[in-house]
Amino acid sequence: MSDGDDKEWRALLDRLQTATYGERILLSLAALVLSILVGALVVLVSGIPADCGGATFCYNPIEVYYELFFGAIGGNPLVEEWSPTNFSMATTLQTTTILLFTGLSVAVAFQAGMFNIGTQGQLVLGSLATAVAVLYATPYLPSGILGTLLLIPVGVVAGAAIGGVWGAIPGALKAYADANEVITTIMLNFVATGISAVLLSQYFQDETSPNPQTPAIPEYAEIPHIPVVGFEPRIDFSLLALLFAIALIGAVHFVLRQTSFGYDLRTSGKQPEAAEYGGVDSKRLMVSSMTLSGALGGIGGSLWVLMVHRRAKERVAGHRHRDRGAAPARGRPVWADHPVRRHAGVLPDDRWLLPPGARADRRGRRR
Amino acid sequence: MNKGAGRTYLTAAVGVLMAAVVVFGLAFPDSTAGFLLHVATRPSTTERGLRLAVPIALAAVGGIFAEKSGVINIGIEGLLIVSAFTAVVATHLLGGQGATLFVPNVWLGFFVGVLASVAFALLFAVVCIEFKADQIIAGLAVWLIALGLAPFVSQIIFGRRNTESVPTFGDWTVPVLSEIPFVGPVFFDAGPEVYIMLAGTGVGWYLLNRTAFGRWVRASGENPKALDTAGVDVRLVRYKSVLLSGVFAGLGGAGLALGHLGRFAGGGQTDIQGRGFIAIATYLFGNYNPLGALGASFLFSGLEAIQLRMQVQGFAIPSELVRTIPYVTVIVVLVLVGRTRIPEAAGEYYDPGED
Repeated sequence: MSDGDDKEWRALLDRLQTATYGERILLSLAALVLSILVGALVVLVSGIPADCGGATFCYNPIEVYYELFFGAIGGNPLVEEWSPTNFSMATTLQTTTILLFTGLSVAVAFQAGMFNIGTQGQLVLGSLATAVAVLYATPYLPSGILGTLLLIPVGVVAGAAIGGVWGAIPGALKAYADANEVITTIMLNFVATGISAVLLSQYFQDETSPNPQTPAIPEYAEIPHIPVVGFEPRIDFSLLALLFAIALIGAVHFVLRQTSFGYDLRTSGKQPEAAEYGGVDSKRLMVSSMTLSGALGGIGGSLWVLMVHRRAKERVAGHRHRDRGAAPARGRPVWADHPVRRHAGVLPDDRWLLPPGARADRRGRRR
Repeated sequence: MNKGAGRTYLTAAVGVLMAAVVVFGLAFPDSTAGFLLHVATRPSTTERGLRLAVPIALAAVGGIFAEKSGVINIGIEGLLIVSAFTAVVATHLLGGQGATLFVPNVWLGFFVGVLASVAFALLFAVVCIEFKADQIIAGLAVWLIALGLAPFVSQIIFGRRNTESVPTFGDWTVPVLSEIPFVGPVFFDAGPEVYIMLAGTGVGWYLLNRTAFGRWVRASGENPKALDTAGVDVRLVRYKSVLLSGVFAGLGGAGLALGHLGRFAGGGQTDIQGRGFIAIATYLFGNYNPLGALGASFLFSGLEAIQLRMQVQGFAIPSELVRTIPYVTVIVVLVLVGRTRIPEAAGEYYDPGED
C-alpha cells in the first residue's frame, strides 16, 4: 500500500471519528430514508406481475409500510383500540430480544475491528448446548422455583461457553494465521449447521418426534413471564428476558467504556498500530474479543431455547418463520398477513448478522 | 508460519491422502477405501464431478480477475445465485422447451443469466470504484441481496421459493472421440457447460498471462501508481476486471442451473450452497492461476460427486457431516495459503489525483 493510499484512509478515519453525533445521526437517517425509497420501488415493481384488475402497480408502498409498522406493534393506536401488551407486540419484542443479543455480538467484534458474520453459527450451537445442558442437569436439581433459578443460569452459561468457543476459532485463525474472518465465519456457519444436525440426529434426538429436535426441557426451566404485566401467554415472550438483554447491553457498554480491556479493544479496532505501541497484545485481544462476541451470540441461542422453543431444533433462527404461517392470500402483498413474520420469511437466514452502519475492517490485510 | 510452504504442505497432504486411498483400496477391495476407490474411478463419478466443477471453476476465474486487479470480490457467491436464478426464470418465461427467433430458449435463458450477473457486478464495481466503498462490505451486500432477492422474485413469479423445472442442456457428443474408453464418455460426451468451463479457464489463463490487458490487470493490483504513470487508466482496468468476474461467475451460475439443476431452490443458502466461497478458496489454493483453480475445483466437486454416489449406495456416513468437509477445507486453505500472494494493493481504493 502506498503512502498516498494510507493518507487517504487515515483522513477518512479522522473524518469519521471527528464527525459529531448530529452528523452521524443525519448520515444514518439519510441511509434509512434512501433504503425506504428503494424498498418502495421494489414493492411497486413486484406489483406489476400480480393480477388486481387493470391497475399496473398492484401494491401500494405506503400501505405496505403502514402495515409493516403498525402491524409490528399490533395496530394503529390513533385509529383503533390498542393495548401495548397485544399479541403482535409480544411477537415483535420476542424477536427484538434475540436480535439484541446477536446485534450486541456483532457490535463487540466490530468495536475490535472485526466482522463476526458467524453469529448465526454461534447461535445455533449455543441453543443446542443450552438444551443439552439443561436436560442433563434437570435430574440433579430440584424442581419448582428453585429449579428455575438454577437451570436458567446453567443453560445460559452453556450457551455462552459453546458460542464463545465457536467465536474464538475465527478469532484465533485471524490472529495467528491471518485468515480473513469474514470468510471463515461464513464457512463456520455452514459447519455449525452440519454439526448440530448430526449431534441432534445421532445423540440428542427426541424419540417421540419425527422432527429433528431435542426433547423438551421442563416447563419450570423456561424463563418465566411476569404475571402482572400481562403479555399474552400464548406467545413465548418474557419481559424478564428483554430486561436481561437490556442489562447486558449496559454491562457490555460498561466493559467497553470503563475498563482497560474495553479501552484496549476499542483502540485496536480504531488504531491497531497505536494499541500495539501502547503494549496491547493484539493477537490475544482478537481472540478474546471474538470469544466475547461469540458468547453473546451463544446466549441469543440460549434464549431461543429458554424463552421460545423449550428445546433445540435443527431449524432455529432464520428458518423459524418458514415452518409456520399459511400461504398469503392472492393479490395481497406477501408481507400483509403478519409483517414481522412475513418479512422475516423473505430475508436470508443471516439477517441476524448485519451490523448497523457497518464500516471497514482494514486491519488484517497486508499492506 | 511460512505461507509459501503452506500450499506445498497442503498439496502434499492431499496427494498422500489420495495415494493412501488408492493403495489401501487396491489391497483391500472390500474395505471402505476399496469402495471409495471403486466409486471414484467410475466414469459416471468423474462425469458428475466435471459438471459440479463448472460453477466453482468459472467463479474462481472471475474472482481471480477481480482480485488481481485490486478489487476483492467476495460477492461472487451472490453473482452465482443471481445468474443461476435468472437463467432458470428467463428460460421459464420464454416458454421452456422450444426456441425463440431460432435460438433455443435454454440458450437465451443462459445468456440472460450471464447478463444479470454482469449487471450485479457493474453495481458492485460502481460502489467500490466510484464511491470508494469497502470491498468486503460491498461484496457481502451483493451476496445478501442475491440471497434475499432470488426467493423473493421466485415468490412473486411462482408463488413459492423454488422455481418450476425448466429443460436443461443435452449432452454434446463428439463423434469418434467419444468412443475412446473412459476419456471418451467423460470429456467428449458432456454437457456444453463443461466445454464452456474448460474453454473459459483456458481463455482466462491466456488473457491474464499472455495479453497486454492481463499485464494491466496484474499491475493494477500490484502497483496501480506505476500503471497510472505508464498512462493506463487504473479505474477503467478495474471496471473491466470486475465486469469480467461477472461474466465468468455468470457462465458458472447459469451453467450449473441449466446444465445440472434444471430448477432453482431459493430456500436457506439456495442451490448454490456456498460454491462462491469455495471458489475463493480454490483460487487461493491455485495461487491465482486459472488452471490451478480448475484443478482445485475438481477436488471439491469430486468430493461432492463421491459423496452423492455413496449416499445413493446407502453408506452409513452422516451426510450432513460429509457435506461440511468442503467448508472445513476452505478454512484450512485460508489458514495455510490465505495470504501467500495477495496482490499488493488488493482491497485498497486507488485515487489517481493524489500526490
